[in-house]
Amino acid sequence: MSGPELLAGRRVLVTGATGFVGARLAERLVVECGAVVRVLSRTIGRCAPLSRLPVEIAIGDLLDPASLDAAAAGCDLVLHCARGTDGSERERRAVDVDGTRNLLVASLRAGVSRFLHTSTVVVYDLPGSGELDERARRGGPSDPYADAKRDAETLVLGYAARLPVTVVQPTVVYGPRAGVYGRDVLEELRTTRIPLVNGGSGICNALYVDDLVTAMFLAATSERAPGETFLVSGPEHPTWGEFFGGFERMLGMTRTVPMSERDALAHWKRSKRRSWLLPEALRAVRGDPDLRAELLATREGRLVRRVAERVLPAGYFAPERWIDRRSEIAGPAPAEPPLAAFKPQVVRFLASTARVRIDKARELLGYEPEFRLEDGLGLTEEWARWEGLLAP
Amino acid sequence: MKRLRLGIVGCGAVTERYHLPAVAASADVELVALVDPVRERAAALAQEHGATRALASHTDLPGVVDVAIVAAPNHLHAPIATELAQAGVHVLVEKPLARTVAECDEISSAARASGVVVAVGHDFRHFPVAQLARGLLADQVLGPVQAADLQQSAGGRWPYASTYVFSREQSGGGVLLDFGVHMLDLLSWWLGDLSVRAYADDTVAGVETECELALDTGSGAAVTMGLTRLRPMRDTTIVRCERGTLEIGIFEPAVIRLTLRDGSTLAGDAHDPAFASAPMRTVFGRQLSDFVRAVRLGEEPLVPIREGRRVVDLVERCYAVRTPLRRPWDWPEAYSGIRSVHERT
Repeated sequence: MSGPELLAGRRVLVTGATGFVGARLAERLVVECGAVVRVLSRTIGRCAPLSRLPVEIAIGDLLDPASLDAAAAGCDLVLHCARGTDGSERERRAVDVDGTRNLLVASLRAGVSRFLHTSTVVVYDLPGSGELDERARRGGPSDPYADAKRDAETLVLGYAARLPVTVVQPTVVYGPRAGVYGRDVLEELRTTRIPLVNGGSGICNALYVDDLVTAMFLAATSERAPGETFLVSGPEHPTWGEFFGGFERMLGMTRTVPMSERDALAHWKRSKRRSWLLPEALRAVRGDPDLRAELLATREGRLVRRVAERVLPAGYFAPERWIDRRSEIAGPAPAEPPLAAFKPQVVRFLASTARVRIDKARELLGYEPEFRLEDGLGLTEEWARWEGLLAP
Repeated sequence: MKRLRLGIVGCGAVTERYHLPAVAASADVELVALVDPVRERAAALAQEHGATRALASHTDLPGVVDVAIVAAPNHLHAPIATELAQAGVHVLVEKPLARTVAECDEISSAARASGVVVAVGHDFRHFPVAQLARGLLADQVLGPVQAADLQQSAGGRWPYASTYVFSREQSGGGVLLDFGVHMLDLLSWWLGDLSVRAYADDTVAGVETECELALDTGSGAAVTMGLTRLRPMRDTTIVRCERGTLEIGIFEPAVIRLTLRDGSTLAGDAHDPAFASAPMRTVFGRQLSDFVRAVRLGEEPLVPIREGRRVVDLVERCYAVRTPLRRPWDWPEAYSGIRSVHERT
């Protein structure tokens, strides 16, 4: 029997079910597996998209242990997909780390038979080239998200003696309803140009969301999975050029700018150089009559004007001195949108040609990814059009 | 004139946000009781709004109130409205009037027997744009209607206070019954009675979050409709008439756009200063005034019971001919048209 069949009739708690992966997981647990699904959500409104399915809604919060006890009670499996998405870095980390700890405690109390934790490939120190598997060193450049996910993963594996825990480490997850590698990519390409690091020759270990969900079904049910971590990636190793190129084709525009890793890093450095507030503000005010009128109408604006009229030469505020300089300053409408700058860790991630190996998941779980980039992007495009992210 | 003593049954989001402010601003009614099975919720709102009683059941209302607003979950509309009507209490029932036509008829017979007024909370009729559209379309100012298309997203930011709305048992349906009845009521009000040709929705043993309808007007004009809780939509209704086309946005955008056959256009909002400064308070205030007028004068309210029943009947007919609405990336349909890697190699 495979993953889906083993989940029939099982009581499953899904966290993060109002998000990208968790929503798809909950949907397929119900439709394909026939599992009895309960979802944890902070608000009722967020569950609207799930209401087409017979899922039970447990209102709660990963940072509220009592609500987790109630949510986990009577559940046989806990599939943990939630991550901190709102608030400050500190608040997001609290959800990722403390939230995971709280959920582990609740799962232990509820006596669940499996705790599946969704981690990420970024817990590893991604090499610039070669291959990556589960034996690779954890660590690498410090980044709030990666640090939190590393700590959460360590926490989870620390429970292995008391609780059957399994960790999946997905790579670049995309597909319908994707945020980072879906909506955000489309939005960035629509509004800015983006550096194509090393001409897009870096390897994008792309993973269509349904392949990940299939792997999660297997990891949640396999007798060989407790205590293990599994990298999960797709059937191919496309390049970032191919990945971003797919989104550019959907939009019908070319917005990537090929550049070397070094130039991409230099561009980031330059973009961090900040100008002074006052000259920038003055330039903006002189150039925009509407903004100027608005500012001068405020209490402070009137005060400044009264003082200035005494100090500055007569006629300073005469309209002819303040001709509309918008066109002068901005010049003609820019032919190209601004070039976005990627953080150094992102540049390195995009430059790496390391291929993620999924032999362990293949061998122990029988995982076999099915969605080639072309297939997955095809479905993503249909979704994006439906969602209104592309012209009809 | 003496104020009517009013009770509200159900202390969820719509009561807190819209009914209570409308009641507070009204010189026609006096709030005396709030009812909710969660007594603390009723008590907290009662204290805040100066109601003398917080009750756990509507059965304690007769004798205490003259009129009541029923804003309980859908499955309780019929029993509560029926019992209140039997006891001689006039009721304004939130939309949908009930989950089924049979339930609507229960309320209807009770109201007929006791002679009370039952008004239905299709508040969208009080939006200025909706009233202007009614004037233009019901009088056929642009000639007979040839076709209409409505695309509307629903309730993305509604602050639900309970999960009943996502339970088929309690709500009776999803986006069509919960929200679509507003649009079906407007279309019926503007274009006359409609009939159902086809219907599809996306539910899998839950309640629909997206649906598509094909309807016909009495004169045979095709009306298409799309409703969703999942994504942004155009959020307007386009009505093509013989002498021109109207595009109507009830809210966000509140707009009415007229395009004549020669292509010339006129666009704007229906002028209404009260609405412009406080839209929802104005709409719910007018709904309440209309209800009070009907009770005082023994007249029909703007949305009488048979028109509340009319849209529930349409919804029931839709559900009866339902076909599944599937998207290419749905599961396992996602695989159709895609051969797996193994089959290819």
